[in-house]
Amino acid sequence: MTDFLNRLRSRISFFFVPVAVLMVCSAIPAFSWEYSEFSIDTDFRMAMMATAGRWNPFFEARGTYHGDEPAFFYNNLTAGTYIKVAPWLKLGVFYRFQGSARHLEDWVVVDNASPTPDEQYWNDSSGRYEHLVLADATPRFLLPWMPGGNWVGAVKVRYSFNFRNGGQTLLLRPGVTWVMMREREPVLNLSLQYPLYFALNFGEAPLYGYGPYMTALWHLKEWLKLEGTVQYLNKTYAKWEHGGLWTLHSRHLVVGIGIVFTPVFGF
Amino acid sequence: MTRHLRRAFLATFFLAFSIGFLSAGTTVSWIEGDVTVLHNGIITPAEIEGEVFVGDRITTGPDSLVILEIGSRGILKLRADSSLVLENLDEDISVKLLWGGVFSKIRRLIGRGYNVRTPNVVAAVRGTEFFVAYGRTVEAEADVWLCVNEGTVEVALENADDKVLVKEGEGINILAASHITDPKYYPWTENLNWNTDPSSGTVVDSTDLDAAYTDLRAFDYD
Repeated sequence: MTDFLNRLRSRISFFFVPVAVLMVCSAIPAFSWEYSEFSIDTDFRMAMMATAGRWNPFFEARGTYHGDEPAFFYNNLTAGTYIKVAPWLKLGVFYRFQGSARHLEDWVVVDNASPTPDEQYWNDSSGRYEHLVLADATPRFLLPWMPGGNWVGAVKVRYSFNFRNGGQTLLLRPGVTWVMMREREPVLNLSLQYPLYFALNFGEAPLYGYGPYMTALWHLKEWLKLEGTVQYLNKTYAKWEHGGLWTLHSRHLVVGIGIVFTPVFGF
Repeated sequence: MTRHLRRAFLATFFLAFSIGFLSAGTTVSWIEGDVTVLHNGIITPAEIEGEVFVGDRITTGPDSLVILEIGSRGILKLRADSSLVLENLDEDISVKLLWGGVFSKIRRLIGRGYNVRTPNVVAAVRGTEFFVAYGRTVEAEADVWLCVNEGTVEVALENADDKVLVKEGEGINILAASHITDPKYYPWTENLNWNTDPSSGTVVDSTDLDAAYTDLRAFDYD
């Protein structure tokens, strides 16, 4: 019996250990390079979020300049609507037409026997336009136990599909907002959010973007808001290419301003 | 001489007519649901065409309302879950809203006043159509909303100098019964049912006063 077990163990070792070693080796890149970049970007947007009963038709125009590369100007037009399906839940569907966006496939790494850190660059994506569809669900909850009252917690869940390259992403953005009230009317919103961007079908970094996102929004009129935003966004572009793992840590400090029109149609 | 006699006769006739007209009692003209009247310490169900008197307290239950005709001088419509005391029904009419909401439709009568009071607020008019209701209790005291459909209403705080004129189409909120906001248009008032004539449609007002308050969960601009 003991002999039988010893023979079995040796056969298992003979067949499976080399296979396991091969599998592990195949997962380890022959080499890996990591790069990093940093820029201070400026973001501008003009939006309209109307109210018509339970519906919130939405339109937005946005542009983002990247400080180190003025030629790189991301821009988009978004149109769609939210609908309030419950006091605590809004659903939304949007179409987006965007230009000059950078994607993982735009990051070029050079096939070289001995790659050096300089052998990577971005393809010029300026002037390239894409169509996307977005689906959004945002539950919101009052947080009356927070100090000062007037707190709201929310988690924005947004799926996007890019018709040009088939790229799918998922955004999870938990956050809290404090609303300064005067005479029962909102005056100022201060929000702190932490977006998490997940790549659903591309790249080697499932969580490819994250970072704190702060917003101050002034209620100038019932129909007009002004906002200022600051975001520190960490993006990771990672791909397996030429037998190696290539990673770019792209960090952006994004400072933005916006104007939001909020007309009410009917009641 | 004949002319003087005729004038004296007409004056006497109109005076007598006016006195009789004005002193006509206050009656219940319409009831829906549960409505009670507290009179001399006894609570009885209200009855259509039943008379109510100074000092009576009229109370409506859920999904209920009552319409009162104050002689020829005006009409009151008490919303569901409301209570009102008839404080004065003489030349000057005064009612005190204890809770809930009341629509007032007062005909213009020279020299006569009409007041709707809450414990700390007085709304005084001389012929108009307006709505007074308690709102949320955000601070120590409940808010009081007032919206004008027709005419002008002067609103004052008792024991304070705070006083504003609210015009047609405008509303105010008396915050915790201690501060009056500036009059302005409120979209939610579009839903108020001002009708007090059951023969021309429903008189039920089911406006949700929570709509008068900002829903913090509505803020989403991206």
